[in-house]
Amino acid sequence: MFSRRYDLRSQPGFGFITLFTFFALYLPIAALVIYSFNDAESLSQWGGFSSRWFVAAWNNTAVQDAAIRSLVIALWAALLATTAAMMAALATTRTQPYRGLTFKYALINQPLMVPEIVTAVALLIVFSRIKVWTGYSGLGYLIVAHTAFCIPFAYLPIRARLESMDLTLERAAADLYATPWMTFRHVTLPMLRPAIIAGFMLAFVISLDDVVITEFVKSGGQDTLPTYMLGQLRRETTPEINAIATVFLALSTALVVVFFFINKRKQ
Amino acid sequence: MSGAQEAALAAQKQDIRSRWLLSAPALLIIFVAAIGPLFVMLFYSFMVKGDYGDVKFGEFSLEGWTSVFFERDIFDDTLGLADAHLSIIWRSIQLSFFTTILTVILGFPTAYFIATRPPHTREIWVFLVTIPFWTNLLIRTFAMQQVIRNEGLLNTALLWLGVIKSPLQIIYTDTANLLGMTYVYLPLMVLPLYASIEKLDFRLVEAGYDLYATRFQVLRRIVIPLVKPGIIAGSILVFIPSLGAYVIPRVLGGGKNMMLGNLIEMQFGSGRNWPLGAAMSITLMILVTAALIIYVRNASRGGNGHV
Amino acid sequence: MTDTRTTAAHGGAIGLHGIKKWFGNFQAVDNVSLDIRSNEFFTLLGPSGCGKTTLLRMIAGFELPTEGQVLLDGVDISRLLPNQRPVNTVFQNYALFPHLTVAENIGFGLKMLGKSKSEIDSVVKDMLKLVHLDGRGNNPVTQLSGGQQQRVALARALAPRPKVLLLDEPLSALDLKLRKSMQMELKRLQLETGITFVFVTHDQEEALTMSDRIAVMSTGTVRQVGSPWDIYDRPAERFVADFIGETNFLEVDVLSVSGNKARVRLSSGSEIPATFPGDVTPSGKVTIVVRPEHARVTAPAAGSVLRGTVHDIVYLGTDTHLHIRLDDGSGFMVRQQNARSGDCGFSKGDSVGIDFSDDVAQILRD
Repeated sequence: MFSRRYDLRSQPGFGFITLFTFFALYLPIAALVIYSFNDAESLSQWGGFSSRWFVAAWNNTAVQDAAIRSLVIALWAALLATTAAMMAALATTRTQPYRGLTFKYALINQPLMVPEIVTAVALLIVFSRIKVWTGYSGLGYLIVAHTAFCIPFAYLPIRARLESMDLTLERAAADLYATPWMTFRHVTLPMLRPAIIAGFMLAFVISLDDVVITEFVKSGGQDTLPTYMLGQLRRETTPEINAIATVFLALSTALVVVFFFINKRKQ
Repeated sequence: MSGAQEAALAAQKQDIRSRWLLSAPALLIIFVAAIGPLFVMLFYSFMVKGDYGDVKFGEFSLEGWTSVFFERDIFDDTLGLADAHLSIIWRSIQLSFFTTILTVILGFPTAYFIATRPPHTREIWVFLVTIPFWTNLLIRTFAMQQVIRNEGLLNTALLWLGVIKSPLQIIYTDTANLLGMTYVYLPLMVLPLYASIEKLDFRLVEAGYDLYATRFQVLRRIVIPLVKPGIIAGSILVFIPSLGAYVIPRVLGGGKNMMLGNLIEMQFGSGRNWPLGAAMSITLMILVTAALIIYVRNASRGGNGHV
Repeated sequence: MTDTRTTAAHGGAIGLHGIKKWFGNFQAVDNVSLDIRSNEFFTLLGPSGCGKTTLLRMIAGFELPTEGQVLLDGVDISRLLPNQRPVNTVFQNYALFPHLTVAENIGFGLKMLGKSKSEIDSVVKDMLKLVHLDGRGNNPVTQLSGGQQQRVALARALAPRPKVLLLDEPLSALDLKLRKSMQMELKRLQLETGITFVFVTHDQEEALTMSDRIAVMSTGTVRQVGSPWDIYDRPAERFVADFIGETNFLEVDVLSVSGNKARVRLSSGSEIPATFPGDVTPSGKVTIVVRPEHARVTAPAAGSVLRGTVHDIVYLGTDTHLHIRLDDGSGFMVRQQNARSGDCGFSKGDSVGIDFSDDVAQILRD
């Protein structure tokens, strides 16, 4: 008690507010998880512990389709976005300012600056016309749209890493007879690896989580897990949706944990 | 000009050219699937609406833009203010503003508390903020719905405690929107605030005490001015998505408590008025840009050169 | 092609011809011409911003000269990329690859040259022995101390047996004691390997200790090139005299010139001989320099070169500095070695005379 009163950095009440914040952050999530084990038909009452809604969700072909579609889109989008972002990061760091550099920054970060709903309806307008013109209505539209808004997220950690790496190491490699490609392959790439993995995972999670843009860009029968859930929420919901949400939650938490440890090892 | 100079210049040109080539894929994708469509949408906002959605291509009209703010009287064809639209726009601004305030009130003490923990426990606290941050927005909205609905956790607890006699109607009200947005966007406030408080030199706090400041005065005169950039960054991160919120009001606000995002969606759905929807989207973008400019102005004015 | 880059039977000779380097509107190097001989330990010495590092980077190939040529054994290498030059660098902060082990760092250059694994292994082993890091090959470089990292950086740069080794203030991050032992170590390595070393430093003592020859640089130009002895005892101009060691400047009149000696008259009226740089013939009023340790304080006598009073006495352990106020009002410092303990034999306010050792006065060019 004595030491706490004399910790000059502490402020009265802040600890209490912090506890409240964390309580408020986690209570709804906890409730959601607990209710996914509810045996009752409806969310309104507790009917005892059961995992039957997980089984129901697992066997629901609509959920299966949506989950697979979500993963396919997220993998492609994260792969494309990370590749494009890495190249862009190499092109925009560690250089004297040149004409067009600010333009590049602005363009790459643009998807962060515009409300999702605006991008979503703009894509609806453009893609619906392209769909009519070309007759193609596959997953390509969703993948391209996701890639675009994933690029700034993948770009962020890679750029940060590059900026903390000065050119000395690459110069040292060149000094030791490495050609530019060998320098990239043996020095730049290995040193960037943690940032590339981080960027990929960020992009993957961002794509997996997207509701709004997907909702507007998707053609009929192209539900992803989030848009499927959004559709279900309009109706009277059963704990099945909690079960889906719980699995989804577990997946993204696992990704965050992995991300956390990669970051930690880097330091 | 000597040969060496020419060689150096050529090398520089070559470098810039390869840098453009390297960034081309990212720029192209963003142009095709983010920026380009915005220009197409601007174009669409000046066209005549199609009978079953879409637009009548090539027929221009200002109708989309005028109907953002005005509506034509069915009987005498005069223009009056579109009260429904304006009240939704105003509500969106208000709700976003209060969301920002609430997240600061909860987020600042939290970030400060975390930043003053010993380094190894600090990491765990930050990690605990990061998890909800990376959890699907829809899932968090849905979780909030389960807490505040009439038979939800909150009402059940309050009834059981005897605080209330009948369930509080929170869901499908503006309060639900406010609570939902505060809940969902809180991590977006805590993380940048934490980043800037963590960088704070606490010797300045000691100097403040040394010069007879009280705890509150230290907070108000030293800590808050120094971490102002963090507060502004957090406010931008919360205000912008709040203004364009779509999922949260759709799930928690219900049909009567729409926000701008839902109004826009309506024009592309049942409203079948794409030019109006496009004009509204651009209005939303203008609002966001205006907010950004105000925040950034504030930031540069109060920055005192501290980062 | 790889062979021409690495087989070094002897250290390479570097020729710099009329090198100029502009960064935008800033001229970092202004018309430098230098010849660095094969097998020598050559130092570029100067304050920060004098252009010495830029010069080194142009030899390495990290910068292109705006004008002029870099020759290696008479061949123009100005336009070659760094990886095409048989020249290796020890970087200021070592620039060790943090994702590679000690051995992988040392073997990097050979690997890039496409050498066989067995050859790389044996060279790495030799190198580890050379820098006293035997058995540390598999350690991550991030776990080494500053001194050990320094050795790895050296071994890495030496492993491909370059013709010239460039060292960019490699000792500046080490503490004093380690720096001293690394100085001896570097000198040993240079003698053992026979590679030409080009060493950049702002530390005059380091330069004097290790170098065969020194080029003193200031504001992008070379002010004087010579052996440590030349540079210290025969500074050609005020900047060099001032930058290296402590010095007394005296205004004198030239009386006569013969050979490379002149006779000059001091303000006290005494006349002494003074040397001057070969490229000028002094006349009229000039400045001479006399190092503090080349003068002696004596009891005032008629034959003293200078006379004054003791203004301050600073005890420094090995030496004592006597600050004398001369009769013409200017200051003069004498460094006296503390051969025995106790006081220096003088106290503040004493009237004293100053004598010079023979042949110590040097006339400056400007």
